[in-house]
Amino acid sequence: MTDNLLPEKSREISGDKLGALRTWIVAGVIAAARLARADDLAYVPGTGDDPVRALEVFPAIELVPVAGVPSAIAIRDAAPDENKLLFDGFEVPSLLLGGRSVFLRQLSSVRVEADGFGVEQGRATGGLVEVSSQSAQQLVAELTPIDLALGRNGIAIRGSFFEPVMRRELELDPDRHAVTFQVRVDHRAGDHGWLALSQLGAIDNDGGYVRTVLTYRYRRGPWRALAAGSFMNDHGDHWLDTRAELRRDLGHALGLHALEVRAGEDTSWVVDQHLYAGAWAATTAALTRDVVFIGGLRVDAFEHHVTAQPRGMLAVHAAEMTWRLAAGAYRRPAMDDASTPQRATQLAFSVEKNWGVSRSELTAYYVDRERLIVDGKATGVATNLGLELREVVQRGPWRARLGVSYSHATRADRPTAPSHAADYDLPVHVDALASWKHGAWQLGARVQLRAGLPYTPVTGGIYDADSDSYTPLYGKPMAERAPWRRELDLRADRWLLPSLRAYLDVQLDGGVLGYTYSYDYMQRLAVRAPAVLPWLGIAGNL
Amino acid sequence: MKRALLACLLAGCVDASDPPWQLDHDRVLAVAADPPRVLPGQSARVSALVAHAGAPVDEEQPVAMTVVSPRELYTAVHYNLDHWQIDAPAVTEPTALVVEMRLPPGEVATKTVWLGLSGANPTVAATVPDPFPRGRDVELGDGEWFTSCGTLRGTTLRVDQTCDGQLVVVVRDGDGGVAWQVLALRVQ
Repeated sequence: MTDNLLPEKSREISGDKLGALRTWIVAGVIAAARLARADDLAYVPGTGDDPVRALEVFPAIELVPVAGVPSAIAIRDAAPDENKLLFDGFEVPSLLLGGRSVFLRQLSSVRVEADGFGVEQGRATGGLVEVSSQSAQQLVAELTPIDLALGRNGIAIRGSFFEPVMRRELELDPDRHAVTFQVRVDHRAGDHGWLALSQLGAIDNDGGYVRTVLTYRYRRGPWRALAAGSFMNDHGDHWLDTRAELRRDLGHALGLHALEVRAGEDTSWVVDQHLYAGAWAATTAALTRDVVFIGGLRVDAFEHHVTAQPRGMLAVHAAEMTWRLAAGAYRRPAMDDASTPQRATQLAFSVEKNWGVSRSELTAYYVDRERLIVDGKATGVATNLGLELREVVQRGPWRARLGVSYSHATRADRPTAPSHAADYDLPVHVDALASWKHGAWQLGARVQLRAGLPYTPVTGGIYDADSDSYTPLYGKPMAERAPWRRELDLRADRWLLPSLRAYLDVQLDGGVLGYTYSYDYMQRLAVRAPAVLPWLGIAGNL
Repeated sequence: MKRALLACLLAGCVDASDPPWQLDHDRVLAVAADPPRVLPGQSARVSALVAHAGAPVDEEQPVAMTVVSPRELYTAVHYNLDHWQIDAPAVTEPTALVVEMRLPPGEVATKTVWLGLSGANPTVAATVPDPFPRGRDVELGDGEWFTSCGTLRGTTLRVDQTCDGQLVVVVRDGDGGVAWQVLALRVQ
């Protein structure tokens, strides 16, 4: 399931001519992952050069808008709070602030896992998006109509100077401010160690969050170790987290072509609230030159509950294709800590074929969820069955990609209750883009077609005379859907210098994003995307 | 217009709807119990001020009423000849009686009446200039205001066109007491 967004090193593992066995193991490790350098997410039309918005090229990912502004990430049917967002291995509450990425594209790489994820991470039942900071010595700069980002020596800050103007014009909240910043400082510690201090912050009037991570990596011979500690202030909540892991490459052992074993732990303490701890052990083994197995067991302790989660994946290279089968158990603590943890079982089967100038990948998946919280009780159940097709073509100056997904996701309040569409059920999602590069120019176009998200209609309101407000009366759960969305995006990039480019990105949409209601719930009001949204920017590394 | 265009361009648009202060809209403006706090043996009558699309506001009596909580006091609500009323039962301590009523336009409203306490609704005596000045911001004073002419921003009314309509002020005392006044609005 690699992608043309992959860096060269990773891209080559999808080829028919597999190299060394170690390459195969790397292939296996990332088989279930979609890895992208954030810099490679820079040329996607209709994104305003924003790497999180560009993640929607993956059929599994949908950005959840609040009042028309992308605010959270849904992966397949998993709601934003069921997914895990990480910065340098530690959880962060959001990767979006004011509709823009919290992190700076030039100083980051992004990993997306939709078919579940390895035992190294826990406490989530959906997918995973991880941002890893990168050190950069050069000056990085980015200028768009709404913000300016500057960075050097791994330290960058981005401020939104347009938003206050817009908010004043709209009489929303003229004093609102939004600043994001990112820091990465590296230090070699001895001959075999490496120390990195990284920080990601997103501050606005509500407080925002700042996540600080200190990571020590050690590598000597077949041994690798990692120890990391982190502190986060999230709207006044203080998080103290740790991670540690140890890996040993055993090479040819136990009759296997290659073997690696690893184990680790992680803890997450939210001061005055809860302490969660997890431990895991896993192995990666090349059973033959064409068969790789990755398997492990994770044990999580959620205050009063201890739960074990086996996960595994088998990758086979046969008939000029790569076949993968991944399955795993996932647990997530219930919101009140007293209820039993939410459960998910994920199963995915994929086949990938490299045709030379193009690559095809077909994935079928099934997700079963239990013990979802409904009205304060862990009685909800859900299933999701889906198919995803991804096609990537690269020939000369042309590059094209197609992503198509079909899914059927349902939820029910109890196992015996009638089911309804899941909150983030997106039955059809088609995303096609093509780009052409000539000299200093690159031109691109993208077409998106997607079914509308379901919603529960409001049938009226009850007037509360004491508070002078209305309480909504809801109809059948998730009984209606927003209309289909059709979007055309056009983009032109012009390189002014080898590492400095200007771009114009135009989004043509105007479709209905969702609905809201009048104060008395008597009128349904459509929330529409901007009909034409032009975006001009300059970005580069100097 | 400029603001609407900017909003549509940058953050998308939301379909327009009637603002909460608009009287040209079917809605309940306020519900009052008289008295709002009743001692055992006393009775209270409930009435509502209702706005209508294309018609002046009027006072309406509930066509149906029931007790929401506490459920054991369901007998406190009676239909007496031509109206609904609350007959306060004996209670050992002040009790919030929440009633739900259906009003003639088809709207449903809830209201809390305090049992075991005594008290009256506040009074309101507001005035507006007659004729109302056109094209000027006029501060109307305390209370929650509603109008069928012009634009209200908080308690400031501005009317730019000639209009004959109504202005309503509702005053709440924070303990369930409610009073209102309907004023004629003439803008030349």
